[in-house]
Amino acid sequence: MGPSGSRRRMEHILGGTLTCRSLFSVDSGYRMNDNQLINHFPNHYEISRKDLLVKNIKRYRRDLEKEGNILAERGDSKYLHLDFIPTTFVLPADYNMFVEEYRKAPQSTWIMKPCGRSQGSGIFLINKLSKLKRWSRESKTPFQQQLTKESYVISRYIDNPLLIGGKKFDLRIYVLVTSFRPLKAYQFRLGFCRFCTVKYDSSVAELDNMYVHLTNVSVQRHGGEYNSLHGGKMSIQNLRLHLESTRGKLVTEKLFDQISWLIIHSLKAIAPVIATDRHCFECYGYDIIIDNSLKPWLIEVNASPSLTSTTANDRILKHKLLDNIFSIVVPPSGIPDVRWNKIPSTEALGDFELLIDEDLVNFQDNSENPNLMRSGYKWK
Amino acid sequence: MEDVKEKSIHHTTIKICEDLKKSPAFLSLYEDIQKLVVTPSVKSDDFKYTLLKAMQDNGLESELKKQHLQMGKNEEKGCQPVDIHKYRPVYAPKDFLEVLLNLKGPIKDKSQGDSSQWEFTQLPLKVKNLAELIVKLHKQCYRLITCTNNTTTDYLRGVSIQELSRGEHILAASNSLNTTQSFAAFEAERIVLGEKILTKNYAPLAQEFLKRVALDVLGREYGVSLLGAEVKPLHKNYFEMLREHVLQYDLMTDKLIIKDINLTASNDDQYFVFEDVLYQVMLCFSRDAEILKSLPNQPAFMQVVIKGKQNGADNTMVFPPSGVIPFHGFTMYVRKFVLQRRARYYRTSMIVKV
Repeated sequence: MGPSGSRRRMEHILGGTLTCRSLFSVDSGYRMNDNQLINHFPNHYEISRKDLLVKNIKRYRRDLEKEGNILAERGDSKYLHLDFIPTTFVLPADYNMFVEEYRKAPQSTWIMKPCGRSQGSGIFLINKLSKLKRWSRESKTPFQQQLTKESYVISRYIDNPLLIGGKKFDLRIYVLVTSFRPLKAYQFRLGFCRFCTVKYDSSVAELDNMYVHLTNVSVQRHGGEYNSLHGGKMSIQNLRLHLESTRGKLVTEKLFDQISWLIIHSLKAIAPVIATDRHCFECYGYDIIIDNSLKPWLIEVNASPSLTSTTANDRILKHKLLDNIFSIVVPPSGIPDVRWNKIPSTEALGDFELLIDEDLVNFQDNSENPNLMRSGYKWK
Repeated sequence: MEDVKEKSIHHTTIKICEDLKKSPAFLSLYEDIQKLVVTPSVKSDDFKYTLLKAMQDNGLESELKKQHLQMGKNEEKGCQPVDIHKYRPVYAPKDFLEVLLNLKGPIKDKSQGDSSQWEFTQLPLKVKNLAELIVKLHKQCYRLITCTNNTTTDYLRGVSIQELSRGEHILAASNSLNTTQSFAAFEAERIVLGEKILTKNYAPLAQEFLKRVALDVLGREYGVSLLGAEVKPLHKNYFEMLREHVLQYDLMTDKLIIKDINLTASNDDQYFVFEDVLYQVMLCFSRDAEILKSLPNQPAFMQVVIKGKQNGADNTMVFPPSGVIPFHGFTMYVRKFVLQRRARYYRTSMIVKV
């Protein structure tokens, strides 16, 4: 990549989240030079922590509503267009609000997730308030002391997921952000569905069977049914094909448009709070669940999506992903440069598609019409 | 002379009508025609003509033709056993590659009479890069398509030949289709045309269309049209009955099917999600005695005596009921149809196998 002299400059192009945090902390005293890039934004936890993502999206909706923006339109007390995350509360902070919501539909199932953990660890389902109370009693530290330790989010469980072959799945979609203000984001065309190995069953008896409910490969691979040849992963193109032939082309297209739409708005929601730095770019792994009415729900966003591969197809996909990321973040000259306008050529995009580039949007049309914006960069 | 000819036509007609009445789909066809008769498009003063016209418009004429065609096929199969040794299953890219590598050239071997064989031939292509190759191939294809003698012209009615054989846009890899927008436009155009052909509900026409355009979107409808696999209540009931049988008794071959699926579909990243659908269809298939009736050579099946009963005609049954003993890769024949609803899926795959 570039002349041999640029090798030293490339050193800092990759770093773990911890390295990045220490790098950007006030007392590190480190300043990156103009030819360095780094693969995280300093406070990416604003989107990757489950509680902060919810907080930011809620704030984003309120802000739009105050502005009187048509996107924040409500119907039946729900947001019509911005209702793309399941109803979520942070515990213990929002406990009372949760109970109020719970009482509206006491039969519903909720899912508890520790805010800071990943790969499905610490997750469980509850269908009774008493179960939650018992959990809080039994967990080593009571709520009050837990405030500083581990907080949880509790979300309405999507108990009507779209099933294929009787099994639940979620989508992993990769999104590259090269700048938050202005927002520049790209969506990777390739991606996959992660299937549960066991048939879906929403009955109470199966509530504790995580092989039924959680799609995480890290959970599923411990099941007896796990197949290491395909790893329970099916490509998104195949999903598309399946949906087009079973549900029709139009609804399928609408679904994928809605997915791109929710990605754009989740990014817009965190854009104001992200410490933006021209050296940074970041690749997010979006986890999305589709329900049986073909509505996509944003479950969570990972700032360090797994780049290890479990299957041969996985290796090809992730290789392409990395290759395409580098070709987008590095300017045509081949040497990273913070002064570059971060508008890559069409050829450099590879399998990425432009989701939004506010530089280009402002340039072409200064209207705030989201439909216009979307139709220009359709996600195929 | 004329008289004899007339008589023979008359006899054939009677024979066809008799056969048609025996066919299982006759009842629903009859009902459909009756429904059509009461519509205002059929007039009593010119009954024959208006009915024919209405049948054409509603795709019933093609339905009738198809029925006839299918009957004809069954008869043919019955008396002309096909030499299946010449055929070999291809259900994995690996097999396909092997087949490609074993192709023999179209050089006529005098000793073998008329049958010509195919082979790989090295063609010098004067191209420098992939882009040029695409342009080159695309031109070749255009020539091929425009040369193709369109045998189904008669049936094209609403669809002009120009529409079908506008060669420059048949291949998606054309240069002008680099951008997503023009590809989308191209695809939309194909879909509109594809839907138009579907309304004709005539298999040969659908076949001609599929030869030129691969459409994922209408794949299911085309599969149905090509194979004449519409699902009528009759078929649904039949499928339900087979499902009952699956619940009622186990067959030894079930284990072979399960093993086959475990070895093939379950390990395939495109089909593993559908392994359950495949089980269900295959288990029904093995219990479907209709299959045996349509098989020309009465293949590997056994006469078995029901356990604990006396040896006698009443207690003997064919095993497996379908007469087909599954072999490695058998299930993969049906995998292409897994995108469809179960009853329809079963009907489609059954037709394919037979």
